Amino acid sequence: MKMISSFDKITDYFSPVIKQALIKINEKDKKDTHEIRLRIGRPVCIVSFGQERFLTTDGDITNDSHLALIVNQKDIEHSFKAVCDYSIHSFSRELSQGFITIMGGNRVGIAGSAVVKEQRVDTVKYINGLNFRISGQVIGCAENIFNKLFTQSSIGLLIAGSPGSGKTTFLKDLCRLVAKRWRVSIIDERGEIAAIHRGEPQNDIGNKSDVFDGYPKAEGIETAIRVMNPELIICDEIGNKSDVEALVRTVNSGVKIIATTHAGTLAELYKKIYIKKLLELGAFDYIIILGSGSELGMVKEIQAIPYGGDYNYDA
Amino acid sequence: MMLKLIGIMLLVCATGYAGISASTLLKEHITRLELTRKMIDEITILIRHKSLTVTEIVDELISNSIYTELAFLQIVKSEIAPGIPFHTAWINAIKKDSKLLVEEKIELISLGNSLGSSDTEGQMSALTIYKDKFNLLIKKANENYDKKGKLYRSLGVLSGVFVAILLI
Repeated sequence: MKMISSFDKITDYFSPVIKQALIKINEKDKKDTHEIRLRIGRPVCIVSFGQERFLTTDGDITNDSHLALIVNQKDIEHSFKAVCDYSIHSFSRELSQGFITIMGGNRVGIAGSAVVKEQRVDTVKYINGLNFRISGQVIGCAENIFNKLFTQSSIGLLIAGSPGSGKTTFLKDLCRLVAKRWRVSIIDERGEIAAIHRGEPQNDIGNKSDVFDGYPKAEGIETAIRVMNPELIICDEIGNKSDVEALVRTVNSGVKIIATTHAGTLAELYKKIYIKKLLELGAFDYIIILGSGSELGMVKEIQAIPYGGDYNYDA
Repeated sequence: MMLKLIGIMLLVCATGYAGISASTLLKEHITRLELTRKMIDEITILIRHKSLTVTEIVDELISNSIYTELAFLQIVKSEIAPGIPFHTAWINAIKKDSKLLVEEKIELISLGNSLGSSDTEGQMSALTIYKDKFNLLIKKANENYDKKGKLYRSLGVLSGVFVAILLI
């Protein structure tokens, strides 16, 4: 397996002081960093393997918060503007959703005060925290599953895992593999799978893939089926009603689906009514559960789904 | 005598040219202001209909040959670099463009600071204000040209003739 981290690509989004400290971090720690968190008046946090530690001005990572580099309002403002590419007007939809995907498919979560219009979050003001989730491409991490399940024809696959279990990383690699064989449409609502920058994917997503970047899932799925005639649809983090309704139409049109969803165990997964509906319709042939924490990057469980969803609820 | 006549003719030509140049500079100023107003219109469209980021807007403007006269756009492009805030690049570019007059620089720097700092609605309002400001500058520049353009040309030629008479 080959790990491609985009740590170095994100340092430009930080204020000069934090950037200097980040650059000084040793290569191993850079590789292990999954998140960088900025909170006003509090230390810069580096998250690796679920553990949150603090960054010093010298680039050391420590558990002692007294030695840590403290984030001020200007640091947050600097990063927020940079994340928005100095163009708040271009990111209103993302701001209302609370995150922005930046270069390299890295996702930045935004915490602040909500501006509510017509009972919906319209935008965010007084930003108080930013969470940079560093995306990586682990080439080869989905090869075992691909060789095992995609032997003869394309299949419907649901990838489940708890937050931070590497679902998207796994999906990206699987996408690279399946798009070598089949015609794939990627519905990349958050821009994390293909990491499109000015029309060009920055991740290896295979030769036969078309990317619907930034499309809301339901709309993207329908457009893809209508105009690209895909054999497989790939999308990340399904779960709400409109996503599932669009996927039901996909199933009816005979296109296979590969998707991810939040669920740490099969039991947890079966409790989700919309997912249950998809399983009953035969949208997926297999479910895989990814491990987290010490089992990060491992496939914990594979379950075949018989048509009609006669699956084991107590698994 | 012949040499003296040639010298006098050259002198008249030189002062006449200086007058015409001064008048042309006034005209160029108006053309540049009108182009800047057109640029603001285009930015409005690019934000409203394409939701482009400020960097993409600069790229789009540069790709349009009608804006070649606005040298600062090319400078902004060259100033943009990873880790450099857009507004810093914009301000540096405006400062470096030697053709711009102080009043233009002030408005353009202020425009650059507003670009991208609010949602689409806010951007539309800000751009309308800047368009109005440039309309005012164009009006002033036109008045200035009407007042001084002809004067500079006439002064150029007449001062040459005057010196020539003195020399003869």
